[in-house]
Amino acid sequence: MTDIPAIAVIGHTNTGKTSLMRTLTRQRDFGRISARPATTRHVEVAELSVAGRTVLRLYDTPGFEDSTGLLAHIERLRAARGDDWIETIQAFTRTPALQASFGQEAKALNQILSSDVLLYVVDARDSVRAKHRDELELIGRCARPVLPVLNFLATGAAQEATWRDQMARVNMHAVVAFDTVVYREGDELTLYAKIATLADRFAGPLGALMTELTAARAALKRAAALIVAELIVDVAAARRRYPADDKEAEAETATAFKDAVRRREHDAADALLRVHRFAEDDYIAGELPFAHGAWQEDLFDASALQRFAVETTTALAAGATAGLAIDLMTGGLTLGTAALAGASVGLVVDSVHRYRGRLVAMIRGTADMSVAEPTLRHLISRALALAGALLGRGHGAQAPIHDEPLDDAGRLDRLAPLVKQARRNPRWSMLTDGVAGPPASARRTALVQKIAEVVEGAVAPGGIPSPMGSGQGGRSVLR
Amino acid sequence: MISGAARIGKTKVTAGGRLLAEAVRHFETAPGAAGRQPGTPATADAAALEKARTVAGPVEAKIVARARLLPAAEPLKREISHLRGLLRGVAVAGLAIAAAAGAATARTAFAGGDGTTVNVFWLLASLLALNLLSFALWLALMVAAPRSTSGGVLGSAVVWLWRRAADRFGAGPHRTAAATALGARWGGGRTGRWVVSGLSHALWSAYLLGALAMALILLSAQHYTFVWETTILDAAFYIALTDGLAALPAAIGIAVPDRAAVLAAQWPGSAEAGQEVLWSSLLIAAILLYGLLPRVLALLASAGAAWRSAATSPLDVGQPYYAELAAKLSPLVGSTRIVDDDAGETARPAAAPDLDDLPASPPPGPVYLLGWEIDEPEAGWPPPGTPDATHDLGRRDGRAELEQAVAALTDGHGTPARVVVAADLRQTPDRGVTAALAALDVVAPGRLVVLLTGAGGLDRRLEPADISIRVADWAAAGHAAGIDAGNMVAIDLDRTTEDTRRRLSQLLGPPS
Repeated sequence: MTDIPAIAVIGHTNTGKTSLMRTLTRQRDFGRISARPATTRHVEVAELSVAGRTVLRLYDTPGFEDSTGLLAHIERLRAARGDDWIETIQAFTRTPALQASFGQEAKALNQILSSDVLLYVVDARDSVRAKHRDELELIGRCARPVLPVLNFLATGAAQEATWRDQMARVNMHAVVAFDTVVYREGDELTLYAKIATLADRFAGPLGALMTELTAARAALKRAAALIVAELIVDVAAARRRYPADDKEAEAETATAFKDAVRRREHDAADALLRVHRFAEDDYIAGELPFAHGAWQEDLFDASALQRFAVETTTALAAGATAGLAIDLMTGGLTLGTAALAGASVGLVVDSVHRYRGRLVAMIRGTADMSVAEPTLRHLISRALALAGALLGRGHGAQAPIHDEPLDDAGRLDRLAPLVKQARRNPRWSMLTDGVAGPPASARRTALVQKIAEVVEGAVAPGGIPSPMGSGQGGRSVLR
Repeated sequence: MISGAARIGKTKVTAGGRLLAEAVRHFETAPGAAGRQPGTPATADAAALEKARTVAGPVEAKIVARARLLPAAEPLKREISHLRGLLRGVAVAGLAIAAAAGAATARTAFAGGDGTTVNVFWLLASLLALNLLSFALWLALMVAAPRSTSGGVLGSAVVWLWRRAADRFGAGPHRTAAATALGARWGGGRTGRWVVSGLSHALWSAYLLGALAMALILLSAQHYTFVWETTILDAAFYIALTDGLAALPAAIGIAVPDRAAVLAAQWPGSAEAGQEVLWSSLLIAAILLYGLLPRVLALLASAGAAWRSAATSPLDVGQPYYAELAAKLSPLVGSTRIVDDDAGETARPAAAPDLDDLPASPPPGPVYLLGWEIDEPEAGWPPPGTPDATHDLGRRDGRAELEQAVAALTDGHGTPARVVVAADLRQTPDRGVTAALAALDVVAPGRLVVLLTGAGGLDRRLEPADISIRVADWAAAGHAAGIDAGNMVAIDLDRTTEDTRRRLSQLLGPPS
């Protein structure tokens, strides 16, 4: 006996066995799925590995179809041969001549006999029928630990209690809920934990797999949050310059700008799909609608002036500190003068750096355009919705996700102060004209991290944490 | 330094390996041409991926291994070492300036007063007080905010510096990527905090060394008279101060001024021969013990901490780039293969029959209604609209109940004129259903009608495109059981309306 558990996924036809395989393996193209019976007609194995070492083998099997007829057939065989159950089933699976029209079921039974644990998949929307009882009897005769998996529980029509009761009647007291379409991290871990209790000699590899899955999930959540955060910063900060009083040039700039923003959104959606191992056809998004008008910051509006005061003090302090250091170095020769000079230099350098772009623009007669607030808000809520939908999507899901923006003002408002920060820094966006290289500012990186934290909280169940520094007041730029 | 310790096949990941991986990340995610230089064959990337996959160990080790195997690794390594060289040059220049500043400070301090008479405590204060103050500040910051980071100041500075240099000397994607990676890994976060600390200690050490050297030169080449002065303080204060300062030097055997020397130094000219030497040794010992020694110790500690931090801080595998790479390098599914193949193909679905057309009314004779594997309809069983004359065989499921139904059809009322079997359209028609229908059809050949209910709930379970396929599959199941497509109808028994009642009574009843 090898120390790698062989787990057979079995069940009645069209209950979602291959969907379960897809979700557990994160392979959306594993096997073939359809709404029709007997779509899977062969046994296919997927080897799950941790750090390159195989820890688990999952076998997809053809579904049972005529369980009632099969049970009667095997009962007849058993009576004729005078064997016990398991020997009769072994003979049945090994001798094609004995299989009559049950070739498909024979493949499944053969795999059951060579597996360590069975996952019996049930479409919990169905009622418990005689065919289920018959196949459960047959499976029970194979003397393997069975873990019933109740699929499609997330739909309202599921008959969970009836199924649990039925399973208890055939001595299957460990039952796991696992929806192959609606992915829940906890359900997957519970599934493996229960397998580990049914077959405790595999606790080692199963534990390694669970650790790996937990770590991978954490990394995935963070990656998705970072993708969304980068998108938010890039689009919020983006600025395009055009000659003021030139309507034609303005329209041209606006068209190019909108294209660039749409492309950026599309790239982010692609990246999200890629890290989740979904494909482009898993998401259907309409074109990002642009609200009319552009966002502009008045050089002398109240918030800008207020901010100016804050930044003035820091620049002053920075300059003064630098000056003081010079004072120290020269042992007091320059005592005072350097500190004073440093403070003024700091102030001037900071202001010039901060407002140079806009001052130059005013003198040259150009104006800046940026993404309007309603558009930005829409884009962010679409991205949050997609990130959330992908985290809760099983790889067995067939229906694509549609771009329904989250209509949750609270979540967006938590992001508002952070988005505002991005707004003030046009150079942080590759979409701004004149920005050639990737923005490498440490403050930008810090902001992306902060936004990612909020995003990660927003798309995970349990609401969103308030961002760091949420104490700062101010109106929401997203509203 | 790029060390060779993290070679392919070993799981140890070095700081150099991570730095290269970061450089590769910035290189590959840079905008334009997907960060790759035109002409880099995609096969080289695929080969690197393939080889890295076989490296044992955590995914980080595989990421680093892949980075080393890429064609871009060599130019990136070159740029990194080039940039390191440049930074080393800048650091050496900074140290030289600091040493010069220290020397200048010492010279200025000795030149105070009339040129040969030096206020010894004033001299010590101007050489050491600022250093001690900034050292205390550093210590306080380390203790008060042990988790603070450098805020990325140094990293930004490196990138800024390199961009400016690149503007002048010609930039390439390799250079930019190397500078960004170097700045982020050594200049930011926990590592950056220690690097900044170490740099500051190094500069102050150079400053103090410069001051010490200048002091030694001046004391060797000139004669100084050391004095102290006061207007309001008592001589006892200076005696205590001297004793305090001298305690440590005295403990390690350095000759220091005694009480008599302190008192004598208050009045220039009253000092005895040799007392100036004692003051000089106190001065030098103070610079060494109170200035240089703590700085050098802190420098060593910071440098150690920086190396340690760089060597242990892992790659941020939560970065989207790494997450994607990890899925390729360390896939959850090692392989999939078919182990028990089947030559058969799923039959293509036939065209879906029109389930709205009712078959002609049954000929005279007993009519039976039977539910097969269905739940009780919402409107109850038998469904409203069932004529009184209809024989209700109930809802049945399983072998025993099927056998009972077959028995009920064959005894008593004569040959059935029609047997209506209600089945659930939402269920997948399997071979079990076919077998049951066939068993019933044997009793009433050609007179079996399959009534499919549940059409109203289909859209909750199936995609729109699959609904007609499901209908066709039921038709195929009926066909396999010998039932004509014209004898398949859909009536939703869950939602009875006037229309469904009429249709049901027409299906079951004799012509009125």
